[in-house]
Amino acid sequence: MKRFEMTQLFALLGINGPDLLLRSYGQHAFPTLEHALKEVPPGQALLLDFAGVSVMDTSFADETVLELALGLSQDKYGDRWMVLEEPSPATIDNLEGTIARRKAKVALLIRKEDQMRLIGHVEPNLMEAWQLVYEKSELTARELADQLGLEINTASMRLRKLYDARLLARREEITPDGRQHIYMLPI
Amino acid sequence: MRGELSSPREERDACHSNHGTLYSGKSGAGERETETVYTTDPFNSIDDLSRSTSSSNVLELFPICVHEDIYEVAARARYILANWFGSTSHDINNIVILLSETCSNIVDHSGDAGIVTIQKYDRKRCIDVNLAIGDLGRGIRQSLMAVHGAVSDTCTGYIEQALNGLSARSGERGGQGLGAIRRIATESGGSLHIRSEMGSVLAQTSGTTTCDDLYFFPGTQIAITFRSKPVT
Repeated sequence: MKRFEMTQLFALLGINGPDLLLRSYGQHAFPTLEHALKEVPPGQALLLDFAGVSVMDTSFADETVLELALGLSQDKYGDRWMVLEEPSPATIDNLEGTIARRKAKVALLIRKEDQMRLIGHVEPNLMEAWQLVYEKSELTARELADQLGLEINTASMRLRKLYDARLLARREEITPDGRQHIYMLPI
Repeated sequence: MRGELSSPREERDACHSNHGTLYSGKSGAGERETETVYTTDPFNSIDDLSRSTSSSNVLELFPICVHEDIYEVAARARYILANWFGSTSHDINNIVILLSETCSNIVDHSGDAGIVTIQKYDRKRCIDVNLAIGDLGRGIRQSLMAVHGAVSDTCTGYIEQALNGLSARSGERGGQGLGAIRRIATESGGSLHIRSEMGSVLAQTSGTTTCDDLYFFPGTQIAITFRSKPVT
């Protein structure tokens, strides 16, 4: 896991903080954030630490966090993840609003006081699967199928979608029955 | 951002000098109206508006010409709002968002400079923070027409399109600002009132009221009431 303190952007943008505002400033910040994400070793997550940031407005969020999230879900950054740590309630409102108004099919991982949650666009059945993985720490498709009374293919598809959206990580395991994926949170 | 954009401070100074028609000069009060309302004298925000940059009571008329001004007004507003609200930071953050989104529309879309001011009204059970943001630029109808062509027959129609996410920015991004402003203002129990050219839209918790037969006035003028309730 690599941590990026969002307050570092204040110096880059020539502002005093504590806010990250405006589309043009977001456009200026994006290459730095993208570089930070690309520097994360494959299989690990970039933790965007919002401590010290009071508000990120919708325009700034649209040009930075949402753009990175869309890139992750489109496999632009490979096997990497992004987690937002301690964004303020106003920032979360703006992120949710940005996703909703742009009608973007993307969700974000939020960590607040050591609790993880998802915001944004997540289908209810995927949210249910994600919540189970979060509660159990690790889950296979077979275990999810048993928990929810699903066909194994359906369970496998749900977990795969969450992985493709970079909302879950996974590792491969070889068992006597063959190969299987074990799904977990990225941090 | 400094050094990356083309000298924002210089742009703003030029902007202040070139937009004398935006404010009323203090001199010549007894002269004819056309001579007293407008002036082409260079703008000095402190002398001409009698502003106190250290006031913790009210954000007096503050000119918005470049993006840098928005960060400045947000910082000043934070200072004043902290004095008003103490530690209720969520309300402060929401008001900063209201300022940021409205003022960025001036810089990005009006083609002109603008002005913002904030005042506080103590009510029985809440505090109303009123924000007034205005410019004399191209207005919402012309901004949207430049990108999308004619999408409505009325000025009100264009305002409503903007509220619903139609952006004066080409491409899929943008158009979220006014919607966010409406959400924050009405969720607080306050309101958003937008007037542009001959139309106006008033959005409140109870619904939306429109008016489309106003006298023509250039640009866009926005009045926002944000209602801050004491923490119980």
